Amino acid sequence: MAPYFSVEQLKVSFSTYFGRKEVLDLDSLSIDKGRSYGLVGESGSGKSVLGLAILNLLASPPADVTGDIVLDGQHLLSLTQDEMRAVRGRNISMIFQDPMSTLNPVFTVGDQLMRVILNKGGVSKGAARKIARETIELVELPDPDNILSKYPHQLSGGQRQRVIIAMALSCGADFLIADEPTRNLDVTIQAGILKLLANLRQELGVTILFIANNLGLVSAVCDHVGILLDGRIVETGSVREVVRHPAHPYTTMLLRAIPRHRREAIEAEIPRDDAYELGDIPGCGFVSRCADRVEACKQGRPSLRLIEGTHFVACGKHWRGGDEDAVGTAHERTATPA
Amino acid sequence: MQSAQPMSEPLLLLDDLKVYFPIKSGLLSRVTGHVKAVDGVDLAVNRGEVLGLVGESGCGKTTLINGVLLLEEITSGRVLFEGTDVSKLRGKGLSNVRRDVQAVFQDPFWSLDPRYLIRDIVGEPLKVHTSIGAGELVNKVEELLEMVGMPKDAVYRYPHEFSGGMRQRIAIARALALRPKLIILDEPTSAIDVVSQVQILMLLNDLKDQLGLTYILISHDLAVVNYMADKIAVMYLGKVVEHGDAEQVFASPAHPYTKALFAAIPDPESEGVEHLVSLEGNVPSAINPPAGCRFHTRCPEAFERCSVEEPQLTALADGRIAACFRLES
Amino acid sequence: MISRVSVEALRPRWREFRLRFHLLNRNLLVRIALIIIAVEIVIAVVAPYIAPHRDSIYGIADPALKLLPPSWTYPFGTDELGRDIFSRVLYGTRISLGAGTVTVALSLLIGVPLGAIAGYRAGVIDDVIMRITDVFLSFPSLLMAIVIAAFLGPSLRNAIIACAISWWPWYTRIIRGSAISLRERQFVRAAHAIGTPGPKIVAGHILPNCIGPVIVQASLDFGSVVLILSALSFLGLGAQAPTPEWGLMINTSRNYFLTAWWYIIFPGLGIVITVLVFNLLGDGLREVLDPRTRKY
Repeated sequence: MAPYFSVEQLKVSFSTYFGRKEVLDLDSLSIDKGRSYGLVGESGSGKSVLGLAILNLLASPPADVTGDIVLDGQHLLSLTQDEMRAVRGRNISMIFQDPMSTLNPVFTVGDQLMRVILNKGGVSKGAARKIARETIELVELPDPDNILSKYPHQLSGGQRQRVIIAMALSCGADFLIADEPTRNLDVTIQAGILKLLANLRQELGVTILFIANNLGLVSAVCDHVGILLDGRIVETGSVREVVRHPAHPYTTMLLRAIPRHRREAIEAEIPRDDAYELGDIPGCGFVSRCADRVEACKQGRPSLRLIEGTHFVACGKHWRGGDEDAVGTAHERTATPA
Repeated sequence: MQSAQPMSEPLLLLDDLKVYFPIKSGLLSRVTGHVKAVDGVDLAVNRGEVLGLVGESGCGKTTLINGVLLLEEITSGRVLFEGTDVSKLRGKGLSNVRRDVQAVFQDPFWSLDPRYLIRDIVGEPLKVHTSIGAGELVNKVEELLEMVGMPKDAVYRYPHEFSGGMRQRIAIARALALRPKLIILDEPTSAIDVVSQVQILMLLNDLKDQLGLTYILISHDLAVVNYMADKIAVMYLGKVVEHGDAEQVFASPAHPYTKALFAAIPDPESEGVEHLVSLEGNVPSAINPPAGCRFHTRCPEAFERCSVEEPQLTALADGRIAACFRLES
Repeated sequence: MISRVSVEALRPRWREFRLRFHLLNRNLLVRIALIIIAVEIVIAVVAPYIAPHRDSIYGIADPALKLLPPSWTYPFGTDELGRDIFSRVLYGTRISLGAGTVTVALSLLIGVPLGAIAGYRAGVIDDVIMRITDVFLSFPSLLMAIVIAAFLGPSLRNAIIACAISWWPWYTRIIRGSAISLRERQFVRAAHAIGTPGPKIVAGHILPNCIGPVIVQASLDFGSVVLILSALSFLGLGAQAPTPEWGLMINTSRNYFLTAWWYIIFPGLGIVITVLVFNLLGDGLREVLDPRTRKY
């Protein structure tokens, strides 16, 4: 059965003064209905571009997007701008990082929420008001009428982010892209938002693509995870598979770099960062920082290979064939050829 | 493992420190209230120690270190550095203290002037405080760069030619230029990639041991604080709520806020959200803090006394101090 | 030792400059503008040496040769005193560019430091400086220049002073805005923490980082300044006869313009071309310094 949402061979590049820069190069990514997928990457990995590419919000020069994005049978990249406009909000919705800049400071929350609902058409003002109130309740904000009458600056960061989530859900979208929704929030507030997202998944069955910069967030909300490095997914699998048995050295870094226990010696020795030319390094994006690198790592970028179950990794260590034997580390895994 | 030898006199002592910002409103800009950013903080940092300062936005930790760095005016209280109250200093005296207290900031790009060569960025403290010649300046800068693991030819380059991690090294080199005694680290690893984070923390540890430095470290990433700090102080709404040995506090937090803070952080190994604890409500305003214990409006363990009386920092059995009625025996 | 150090330091700055210049050059119109500006600068410098009829520039000529149409000997014709207009227009380039440069430089010299100090210091100093600036800004600049020039007495030097006085407040405003936002930047906070004294922070950190938009504005303004100076001369308040200033020449040509069309056209073209190319340069600079407006 075809997955609810899938991305195939998506390549996004930008033309800059210094030439064409490839920002994203995804082989394939798929999410089943009602599931949630977490994409973990640091800044510069290209993760912020993915959400915009899916919604076709990248300005076409200078960006160049090729590939196939399918949502519920519809091929999104082949839609016209008008058709895409209909899809945005009704089928897909996006939550951004900074709630303050997503909300218009001169209108009340109620005005903005109603505008979004009325924009999609088909409802009267009274019905829209009712939907607005219900959606505010849905995001666990007490006293909806009070919230609706407030201006964005009168709400706290956490409340604003909940309002944004309410706006995203108000048109009945089934697919939610959350682009680092808790980035600027305090940790205790963040926990609340994560719990909300998990609850919404349970109650409404929305499908979520969660973009984050650390595995902790993804592990809380998502079933599956993909690790994004330099525009490519280098490891993917269920959250349990990846977190319990990380295969790519970069994933290990993300999980374990800062030891939980004080002054513990860091397992992998990190090589000195040689290249400070910011140009493209051929081969795997991690090669200058990886302790487990092999010769093959410098030549070409490996593709995703199956390890076990749904766990894939793209790493020179796990390649089979030839005399490329990986330097032994604590994480020996045998790769089953795909 | 090195633990700080408590000297008879701590390197830095904050005595009932208060930093208030006046709010002016009305036609004549009259003062109608104050933002009580730091509202009575007592802290001591011993030589060779790393103090981790944690707390969420609005807790006052940034204002606190601005006060220690003498970038912000102290409203009342004392900042005692090696026994002298530095908040009262001006002119030459102030300038001399600055040699001993330096800082590394969060943003690796904007904490270095993008129009300055590395030579001038790292050399600025030397140019301000000494009358060093041009040639000798370059030598000193090269020395400092070597100390932080940067190549010598970085001297004549611009910040934008380097990655975030390397820029942070440059910032560290700048902080070391005058051989300070105390370095404030304000979220030094928050804006750089994970591999660089480890490298920078290892570097900071090595430098501390080599040069006998003392650090005050702010980070929202508790793993960083866990790794580096000997002592930890937790702040909420301008006051310290818990202060003690880092290992102890992490192992078993005493104050309800500390407990909530630690419990809110998602752990990759625990899936799902059940283990997460979020706090209800919003952080109260610093202009009119709640009566009694500042945390009582959001505290899961609050009872009647909490809304009436303010708890003081009291010593607990294991040596740390916390301000909570629940902990008083 | 010191010279080696300075040369080493210059190399990266030279690299930066070349990169910027190359970016600037990409736009065809800007490239043409730059060429014309270069030509004008060359003319301004060598005019006294290449002008075919050097006497015509300031002085005596043959009244019998008056108001001759353009010919090989007199490419732009002659004026009512028999002077060669071509030589005078060439020399006028020198005057206009020179006076324009001095005017803009003066305005920057007054306006930029005031803006930087106001923005960085804030408080009372900011208020005082900005109120003074507001007073100057409340008068239309051309009118103010006319009044001041009239007050000081007609001469090119006074026209320059008058124009500079009416112009500096704009720069103060621009710089102050930038200074206020730069004040919050971490590198300024870092300089503070190091103990860098205030004036050094303003001069070393704040100013170099906000001078960009002002350079753009100044080169856009150059054209307007040339125009205003010409206007003042046209009105009799600026350059006086026999100075070969374009605006003055246009003024004198008014009486003859029905019969001697060449007299008004060529000085006029001088003004138009100069204003146009500096505007193009300003646009090009803006594109280079502000990446958001760049077209791919």
